[in-house]
Amino acid sequence: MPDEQIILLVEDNDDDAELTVRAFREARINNPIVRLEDGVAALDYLFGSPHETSATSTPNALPAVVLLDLNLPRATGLDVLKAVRADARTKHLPIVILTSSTEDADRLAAYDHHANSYVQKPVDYQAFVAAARQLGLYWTLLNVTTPRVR
Amino acid sequence: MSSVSRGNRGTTQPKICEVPSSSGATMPPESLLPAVDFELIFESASARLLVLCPDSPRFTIAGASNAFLNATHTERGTVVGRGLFEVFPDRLVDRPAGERDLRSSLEHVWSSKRADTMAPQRYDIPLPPAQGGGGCERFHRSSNTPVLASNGDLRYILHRVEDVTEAVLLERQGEAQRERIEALTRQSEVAEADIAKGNAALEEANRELEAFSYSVSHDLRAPLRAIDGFSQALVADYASTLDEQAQHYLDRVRAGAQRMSELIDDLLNLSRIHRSPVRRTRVNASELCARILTELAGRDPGRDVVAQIAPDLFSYADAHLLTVALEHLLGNAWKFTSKRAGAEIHFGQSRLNDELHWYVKDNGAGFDMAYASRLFSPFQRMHKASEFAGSGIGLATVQRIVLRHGGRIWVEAAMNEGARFFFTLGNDHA
Repeated sequence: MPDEQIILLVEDNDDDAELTVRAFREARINNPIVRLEDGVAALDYLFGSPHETSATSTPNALPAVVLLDLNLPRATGLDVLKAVRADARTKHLPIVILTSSTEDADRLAAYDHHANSYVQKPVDYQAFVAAARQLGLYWTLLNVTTPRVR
Repeated sequence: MSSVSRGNRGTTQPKICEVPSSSGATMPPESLLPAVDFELIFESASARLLVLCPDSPRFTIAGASNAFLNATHTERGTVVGRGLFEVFPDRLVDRPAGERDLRSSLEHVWSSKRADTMAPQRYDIPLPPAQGGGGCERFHRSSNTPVLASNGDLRYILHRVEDVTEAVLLERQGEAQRERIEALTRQSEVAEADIAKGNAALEEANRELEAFSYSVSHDLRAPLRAIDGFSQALVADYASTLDEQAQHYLDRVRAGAQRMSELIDDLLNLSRIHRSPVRRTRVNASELCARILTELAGRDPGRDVVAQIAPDLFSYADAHLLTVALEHLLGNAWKFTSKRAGAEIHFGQSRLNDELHWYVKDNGAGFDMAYASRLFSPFQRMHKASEFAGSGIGLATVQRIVLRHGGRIWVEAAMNEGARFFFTLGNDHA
């Protein structure tokens, strides 16, 4: 069952996306990972209300956790975070900000809009793998979500 | 033409004034009163008076008070009986625009039989040679009052002169002061506009720095992560086909990426020093130093360092920035004393040329003062990386912090004889 829990990765940088997936696999986190390239794609995925012409019109099942980059094309990570928190169905969805930025303003904004966690992507790949392992274990196994969140 | 002069005083018919009796007291009969010498009274009046005949345009002077004669340095004998403008030619220096001059004022009184008061005018009085000659600048206000006979005929014009020089000069000073104040106000307005322009430029520069820092923080790290990550993937997935040399090269690639990542972090921290506001509070600098040295010792338990911290020294400075500065200075002292026995670190305050400054001294490796000018620039190092690790950003950061406080920093050092850093933090006396 835990393997069915999807990890949603919203990341515009192909290198980072590939390394993140690789880090999860190296850390033996084998949950399906859905990677989306920008904020609008993430909104479409979560709300099924296509922001542009798209076949998808029904929302997907909510993932176990969203790993959300901040600096995204079109809708930013912060826009996605705000939309998720504003909707009754998605407001308790665990969202982890996964970004290169350690700027005070970004950290403040993320927590102001109720991100569950803020993790800086380490440049050191070994540290990155370690972080992915902890994130994966914590959010797919250890963490207990709110009732009826999914 | 009638003229009043000393010569015919005796013939002038004294006249008794009729005082209206408001108190109801009965007046004594005329014959009981002594004759009143009105001419004498007139001449003794404290006001500067001339009696003029209404013989326009000559306006013959019929009488003058002693006060008038004294003020104009003239004598009765040379004045009385002569035309006014003959004796006192028009020496008006500046007549207010639209104001009557004396002649037109007199003619106005002559024709209308109504009093006329003139605006203050400059009329320079010539000084007699005994007083050095020349003239002195005086301002006068004149009034001309008709003296009418009982039948309404104009008998005389009473010309009265007041010296208003003091008042005019005071007013002038006031005006000069007002002008000065206005000029200063204009100057300060210009300065304020300049400051506003400067602030706008500064804000713009800060915004640019902000955007740049963000870009450095976010965008420059991603490629580094790719370099490091894919190098590792190569090692992990193709270990069997990579010989030792190939793995060594990949290690070097990774080390380079790591190093650059650290430099980015250091640069960001440096730019944060620039961007964070200076909020001064009272900080116990001695306690702060003790805490930092305890932390350093905790991370490096093998070291034996004698720390001498002058107790209870306070600074009125930004607590966070001062902490960062002392962490760098004490961290350096800690690091550069690591290769010698009997390491000592001193912290305290001393006074030079009446200026109180802080010092951090050590007896460590020191450096050659010939290179001291580069010491506070980012990424400048005095030692080989193999000897002492470091990015070369620490002292640049300390200098920024000191400058942000309006202070200065300087250093004395010698090779193998330690370094002594001195700094001030603006007015930080707590």
